[in-house]
Amino acid sequence: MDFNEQQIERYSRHIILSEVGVEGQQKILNSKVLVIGTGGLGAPAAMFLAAAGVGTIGLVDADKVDLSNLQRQIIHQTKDVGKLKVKSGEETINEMNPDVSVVTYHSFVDSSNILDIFKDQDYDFIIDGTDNFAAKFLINDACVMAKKPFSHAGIIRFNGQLTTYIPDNDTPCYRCMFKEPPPEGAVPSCREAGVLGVMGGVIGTLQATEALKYILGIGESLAGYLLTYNALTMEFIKINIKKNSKCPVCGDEPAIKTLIDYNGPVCTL
Amino acid sequence: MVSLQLFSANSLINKVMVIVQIKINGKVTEIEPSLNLASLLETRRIKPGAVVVQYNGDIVDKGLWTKIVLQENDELEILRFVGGG
Repeated sequence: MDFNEQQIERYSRHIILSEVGVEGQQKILNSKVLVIGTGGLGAPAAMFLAAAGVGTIGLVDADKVDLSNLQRQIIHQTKDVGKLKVKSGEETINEMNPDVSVVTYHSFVDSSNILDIFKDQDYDFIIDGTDNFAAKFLINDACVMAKKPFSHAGIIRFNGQLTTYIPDNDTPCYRCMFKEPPPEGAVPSCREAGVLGVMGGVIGTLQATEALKYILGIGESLAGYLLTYNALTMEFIKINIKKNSKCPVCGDEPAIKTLIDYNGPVCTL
Repeated sequence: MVSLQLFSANSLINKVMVIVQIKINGKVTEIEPSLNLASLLETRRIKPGAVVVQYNGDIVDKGLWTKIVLQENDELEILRFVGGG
């Protein structure tokens, strides 16, 4: 454990926690977290992980920063409009914490690249900060197949939800709850329905919390639960969900054995 | 007078008896008797495509929703698809 003086000071509020300590902070510095999507959820998640000292943070996004993103995607600033989101995110993180090395993937995830991105740095934990069901189901299936723990989350209007998947456990995956993407048009996107800017902050920060707890091996994760948050009623509800033995991807006889691009050209579903 | 009061009390009891209490997302909720799952969602204007439903601990296929008649103390979790980020 060879922290320099600046690191001891920077992480002092972590180190003083008996659940973290010097050892725990070392674990955080040695950890690698992949954040897929640097939008409403991914922005605050990546920033808190960077501040915490996660040693390697991967950022995946093909988009450029748009003015309409800035109401919630706090990793990007006005000067970044038009810039690649992964570039803008990398610059913000570099300014926040020199201990973090950022790896950028200027792409959307699909069936052809997601497992390679996981392997690129052998990430310890994945954060799904994407804004569409095709990506959310892809990330779930890829994490089940590659045995990677991940945090699923979604936000819309004044609502958010999240769950954590831990492999080799009796943890339900996202498909145990939501078997397949909703029918076209049944559920609006943030672009169509709007989202209160802070929703990503609340839920994305909870995703970062789950990642840090997993890295530290402390507390109880949301594995086996879907946590929902309604900002208008200020209610958090933790719903117990069982692993589904008939789940098409993590069940006893999985029907899905290869990754599916729901929006892709090869999609036949 | 007495018989009238008794009559009122009886009709109140009858009214209470015909309400079914279930839990929806952890909250005790009163519903009409003989309501099936599909009708419950319809009365609450929940689009079937936008949710999945966990009925007494198990996620149930949409095809079974009309066959499940809700009984006293049933527990429902209505899980909404949330895809934004």
